[in-house]
Amino acid sequence: MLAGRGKNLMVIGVFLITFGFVMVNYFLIAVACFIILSALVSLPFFDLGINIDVLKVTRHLEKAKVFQDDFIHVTVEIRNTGNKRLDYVDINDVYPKEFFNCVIGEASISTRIEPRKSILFSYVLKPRIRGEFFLGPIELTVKDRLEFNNERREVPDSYTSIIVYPPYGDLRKMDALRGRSIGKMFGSHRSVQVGTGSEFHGIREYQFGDEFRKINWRATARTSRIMVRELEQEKNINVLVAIDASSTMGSGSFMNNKIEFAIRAAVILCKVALEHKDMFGGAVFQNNPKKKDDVTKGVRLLESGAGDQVLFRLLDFIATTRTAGPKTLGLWMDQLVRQLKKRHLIVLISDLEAPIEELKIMFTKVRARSHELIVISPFSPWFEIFGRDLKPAERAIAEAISEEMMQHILETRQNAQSMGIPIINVGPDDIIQRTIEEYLHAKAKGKASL
Amino acid sequence: MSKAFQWIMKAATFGVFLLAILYVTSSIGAPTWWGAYSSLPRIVNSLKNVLSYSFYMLMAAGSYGPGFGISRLDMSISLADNLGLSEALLFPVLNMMFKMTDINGNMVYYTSFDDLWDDAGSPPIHSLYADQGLAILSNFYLFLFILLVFLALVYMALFISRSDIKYSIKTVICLSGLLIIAGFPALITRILDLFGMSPSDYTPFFDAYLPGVLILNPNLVARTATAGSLWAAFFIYACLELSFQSAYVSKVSLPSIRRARMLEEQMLVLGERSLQIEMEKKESERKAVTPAAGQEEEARKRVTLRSFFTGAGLGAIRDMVERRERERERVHLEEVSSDTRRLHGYITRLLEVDKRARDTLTAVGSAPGQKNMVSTMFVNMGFRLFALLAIVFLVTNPQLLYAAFNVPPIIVESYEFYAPEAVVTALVPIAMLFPVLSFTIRTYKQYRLTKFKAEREEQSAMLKRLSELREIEEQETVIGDEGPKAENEQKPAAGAT
Repeated sequence: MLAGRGKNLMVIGVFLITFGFVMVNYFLIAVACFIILSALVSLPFFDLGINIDVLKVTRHLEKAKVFQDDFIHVTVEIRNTGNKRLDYVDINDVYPKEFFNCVIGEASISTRIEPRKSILFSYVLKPRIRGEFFLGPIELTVKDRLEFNNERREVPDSYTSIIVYPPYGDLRKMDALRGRSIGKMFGSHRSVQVGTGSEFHGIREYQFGDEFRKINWRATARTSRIMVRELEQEKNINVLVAIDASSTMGSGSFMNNKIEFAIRAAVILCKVALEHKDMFGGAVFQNNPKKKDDVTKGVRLLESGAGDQVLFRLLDFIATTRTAGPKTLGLWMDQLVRQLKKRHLIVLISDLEAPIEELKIMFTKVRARSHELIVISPFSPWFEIFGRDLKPAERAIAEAISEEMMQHILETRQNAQSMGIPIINVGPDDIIQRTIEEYLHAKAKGKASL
Repeated sequence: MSKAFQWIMKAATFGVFLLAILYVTSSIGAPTWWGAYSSLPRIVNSLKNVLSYSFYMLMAAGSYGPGFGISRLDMSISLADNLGLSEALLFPVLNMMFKMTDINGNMVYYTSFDDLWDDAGSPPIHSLYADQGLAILSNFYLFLFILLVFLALVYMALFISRSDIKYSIKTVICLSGLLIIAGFPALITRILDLFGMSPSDYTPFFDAYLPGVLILNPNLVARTATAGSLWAAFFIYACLELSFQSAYVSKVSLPSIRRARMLEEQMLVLGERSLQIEMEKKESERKAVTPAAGQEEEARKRVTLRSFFTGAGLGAIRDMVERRERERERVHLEEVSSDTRRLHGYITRLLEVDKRARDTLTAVGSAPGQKNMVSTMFVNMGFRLFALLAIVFLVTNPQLLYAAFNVPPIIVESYEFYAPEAVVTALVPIAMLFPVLSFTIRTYKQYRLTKFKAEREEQSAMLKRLSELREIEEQETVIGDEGPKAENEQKPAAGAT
């Protein structure tokens, strides 16, 4: 098929031949004939010799799952399985530019491929946000040497899925701090169950029903009252991080919205829980936006467990979360607590942009099943104006909205407090820190002990 | 090697194009070039004069407005008096600022607004514009020759630097444009003759604005198909073909060279930057060990209730805001630095672990072998040039084709078939032959592909059916085996009871 350059040459040729006729100039006519025919003469040879199907293209990813702040080495191999040389091949490996940056190399190449030979090229991508993405398609354009004719096609099935986890930087920072603050917290925030176990807790006066073998005779002699030893054991708890993934959580810039911070906080929380040898799991609340009436399948649950494997499962579980659909917190929580077999400390990360009545239902549902609930509420205006220079008018509007939302939060908080449920308002700067603090605080108080 | 070959190709293209430019320009008579050369300062001078007139007019018009306004504010001064005052002050200054001249180089002065338009004294301003416009027009035709040669040279240089064939095509257009422009006066003369105008009517106009251009080389203005004109056209086209091949060599060789250079540069920058970040980090850590001076200053700046009301509070708040901004910038810079270091570490590790990584990142295998490239290039170019020469020879001499196809002499020897347009009778069928052939080949290939796919689908459907049948057979066999076994198991049990 005649390509753009061939068509241009045709136009130039027609232009020159017209002048040649008008001016009766055989030189111009001959030049025009050369130019017109040069674009056409190779057309049948091109179609005869070129078979784009003989090109086999494969893409190889260094890893299919990657952290947001990591890099991926993508290698593309093109093999000419035919018996003829392809003079000019353009290969373009398309990747979503809004989600990836190409930091080293290029995702396209122009080359020529000898028969039965293959060519390799590679490039390095850096993900910009977490989620599940597809690299591809691979576009092939086979041209003749002079680019007068070309044939294009997309390589079939040339899409490769890639899952981008939230940034590992947070976890790395936490690892760096392990020896200091986190480690210290571990000791001082353990939740204990007094009365069983083998570690000494203290001495108290004998009460009816205490076992005789626990009587501390030395203390009894000293105080002239019967004293018993108290033993304790550290208790692990079940933590469940529930993330509200309704559409309101996605407001703001696409890299710094509430859901992104919520997921980062959830991952860190699970990592801390792992360090504390607690059981941890996750839940994502989201209704199908296409089935607004059907809210019965709005909860995805990853049951709690312990160990590194659970952390990786959780990363897979929440990495692909995208915000969509309406918010039905009451129904979601009802579904969630029905599925939980044991008592849990539920850490809900939600902007609570729902009617007060619905939130009350949610609190009641949790309490009815004896679960503990901590609500981490990203305060929307702080996220939506985060890092943005606002004009005075925009700032005024933002302040007015903030006022209104603050009223809503205060009212919700009053209702929650009456049921012993803390609501913590957070911004982008402190969401991770406050989430961890609240978890450690709850653990220290022995909430939701098994 | 590949880079050297590219430069050889570029040098060859440059040389050939230079020859082509010399060939065309030398065929145009010297008087034309002298005329073109002398037209340049005249056009520049006329443009300068036109600009002077315009500024003069603008400033004069600008002064008219305020004069009119003042006279309206102070009704005691009549409009005529006010404008008269403006004129008396303004025009001597303008005459001093703009040393205007007319077409003959005489100085031009104006003393009033009316003077700009009337014939008394200096010529009116509109006639000055008209004179300069005519001067530009009368020199513009010859100036075009210089302009086209200049453009041809510029496009040639651009082609050499960028290897984009659009520039070589533009060079050829400029060269053809020289001949088209040279033939323009003769063309218009013929048209005027057709309309029955006598030469005495238009000759003065042509002498003034479209002077005749003499083409010395008869091959470039041949009115019949001659071998000379064909070879001249072939030479110009050969330049174009060479530039196409040169661009091709660059395009398939360049990616690996560019990638290799880019990777080296990126590695170098990443290495340097990482080292710099490390040093900065150490430096900041060293400073952090002895923060006494900074802390003292902070303590001094601490705001007390009394100092707040004495005005220090505002400064402290401003400091706080600034500190916050600095903190954000610092965090952002730290993130960027961290990314740079990690990328450097990643690439270094990748190159160590994966031995093929450097080759694939630079796509070193994509560069074609030079010997192969040179041979195929010359073969391809030679074949194309030869084929094109043969076809164009046939097209420009259609009588050969007519003889081959036994076209009756009454048609072949007719007057119309000696006109240049007769070329079309050969060009169109020959030119159409290639797309038709191409279409036929493509259709046949498509047919074969469809047939092959249908056969494959049929085969796969058959295989699927066979495997299903086999599965059913296997299942039946298993059931058949289990039946007697179950019966056998039941039999002893029954016997036991």
